[in-house]
Amino acid sequence: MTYRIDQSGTPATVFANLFTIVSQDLGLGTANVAGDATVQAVNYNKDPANTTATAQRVLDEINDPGTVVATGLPSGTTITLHLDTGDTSIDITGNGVTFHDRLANVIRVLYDTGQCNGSGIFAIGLDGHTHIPFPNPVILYHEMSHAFHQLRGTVAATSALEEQAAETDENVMRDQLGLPERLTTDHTGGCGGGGSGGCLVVTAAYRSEVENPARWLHAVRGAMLPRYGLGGQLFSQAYAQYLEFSADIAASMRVNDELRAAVRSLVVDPLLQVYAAAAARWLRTSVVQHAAGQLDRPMPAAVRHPALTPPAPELASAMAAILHSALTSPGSLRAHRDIPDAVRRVIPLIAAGSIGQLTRWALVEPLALYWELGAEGGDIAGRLPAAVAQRSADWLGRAPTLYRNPPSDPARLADDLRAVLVRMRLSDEEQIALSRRLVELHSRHVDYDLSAAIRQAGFVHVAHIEARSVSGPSSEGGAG
Amino acid sequence: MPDELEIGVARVHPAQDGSDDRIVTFQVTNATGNRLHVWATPRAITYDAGSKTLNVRFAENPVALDDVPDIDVISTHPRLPAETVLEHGQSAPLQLRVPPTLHTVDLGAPSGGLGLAVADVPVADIDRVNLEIAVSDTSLSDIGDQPPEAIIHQLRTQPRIVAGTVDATSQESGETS
Repeated sequence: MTYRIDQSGTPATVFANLFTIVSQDLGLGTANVAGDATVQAVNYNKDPANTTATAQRVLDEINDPGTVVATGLPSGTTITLHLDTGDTSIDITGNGVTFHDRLANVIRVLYDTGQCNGSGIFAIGLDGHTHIPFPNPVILYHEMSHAFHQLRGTVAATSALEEQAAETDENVMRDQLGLPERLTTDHTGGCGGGGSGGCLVVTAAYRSEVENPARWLHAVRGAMLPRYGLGGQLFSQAYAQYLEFSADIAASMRVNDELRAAVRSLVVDPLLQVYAAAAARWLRTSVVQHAAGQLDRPMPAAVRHPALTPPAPELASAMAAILHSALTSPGSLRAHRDIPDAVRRVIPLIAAGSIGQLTRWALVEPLALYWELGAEGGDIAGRLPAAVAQRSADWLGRAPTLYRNPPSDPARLADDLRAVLVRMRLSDEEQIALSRRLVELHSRHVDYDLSAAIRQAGFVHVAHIEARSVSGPSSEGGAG
Repeated sequence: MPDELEIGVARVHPAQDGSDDRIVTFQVTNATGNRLHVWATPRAITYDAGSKTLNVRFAENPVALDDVPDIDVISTHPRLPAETVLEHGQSAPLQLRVPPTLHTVDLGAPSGGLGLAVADVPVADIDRVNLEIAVSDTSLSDIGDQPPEAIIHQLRTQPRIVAGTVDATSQESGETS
């Protein structure tokens, strides 16, 4: 199958959705099509470390004859039909459609990438009544399934059976994304509800879909940690812990504006700044161009324009004290007295985030770093990069877990780790810290020499560190 | 036959979420003696710049893509609407969000390649709103376990369509959408 992305409508979103479908594999790209500026060709050189079923499906489809053109449409786009009875407009709001265009002899996939004007799209969950989220990559994967069946001549005998087949495929994608599965005997859906299925607290903090930084965060996360290999396993474990507390807090934020404002200014925006500093330190330029440029996910204002005025000293000191308690003696959190109301409002979120080892490491520790700087006064954003650099190796070396199940094959592990170095400029010190942690956590779970596999991946050998001057990330061209 | 639904003047105000969208709100009143189920999810929205008229359908598409020659639909999916239930004489607001630019795709228009011809339609002033609203005596979304095309057919044929054009008044600010 030859994939084409229609350059009209929302091509960047279509590419972003395909990028998610291949689990953020950097082997996905686009190329111009000679003689046709209205589409771009999709090409895919799959990362050997990427074993996700959806990526394999995309590869299989691309290698199949036939042409599929995917067109993303903003919500509310109307389709003008010329019929014998006159012109009529229809819409596909909240929907996707796949059809054979006999005039062009292509399979067309059209879908609403605006998620019903931002209100979300739902499908029906396994219990037969719960509205579950239906994010854009899942819609596209569902429609791609229909296109694949058509090209392979395997479209089911009835529309209900064909839907069931596509929904079964769709559930594979849902499993990979950590989304609830769909009931494959209910083919309905609609606008609204369903939830975002993503970063619930960030979405609730911003409320507006227009400026919601969850999309940027998703792009950065995908660039650093693809959904396969080491990054995929680490993220899915952390996300599972995050889901344990985020839905309740997000629900409270939606009905409590003071809580929403406090979480946004004291937790979400500071974390975005820390993550932006970490991304700037680690992400290779080529990855940023691929993931951020092509994905067209605008950097949120909190990162582009970090607060010009420093937070009030009492606010920063209180946040620093609360976060210190959360990391050292969580039981004493509520004993803090005489703290600003805004800080008091975010204590439940900090307390909940401190319970899981991974969320404490990935959320609470970076937040504590920000507010430590804040308590010292002055330009926090300006000092963040140096602070991140100073602590990053120690932080990586204290990862509570890495793999859920380390690869049983040393070559696979080496592929995984090479993929990390392809994406991230880890300093020698950071590579050693990560290597040591891998060995500490997983050497007893594999029956091969883990250290040798790590060296094979190109990580800096521990013995080399003493002979090197470590001052920052390795150069763009070398992986250590 | 008098309209089953009385439609009030449309109020147009900016969205309060930092976007450039506008929110159009109008009141509908059940003018029958029975309970009415009113389709509350806006579907096809078009704009006529000459008459400054916004056309909005709160109803299933009147035709299917399959009706177009040279198109063989492989998959389409029923989309259940939100619905507002109105008792006799009861009123409720219906609302829609209008982006600064709408888009249209003409499947029959040449694009110079395999891509589609998508045109931008800037939405300027809105002086009136032309509405088609589906109403039913029974729930619109109470759909049994049926094949997709049967559900879409039911959504298209079960309700009655109330049509009307109302004036629109602009407001500098308004309630949060």
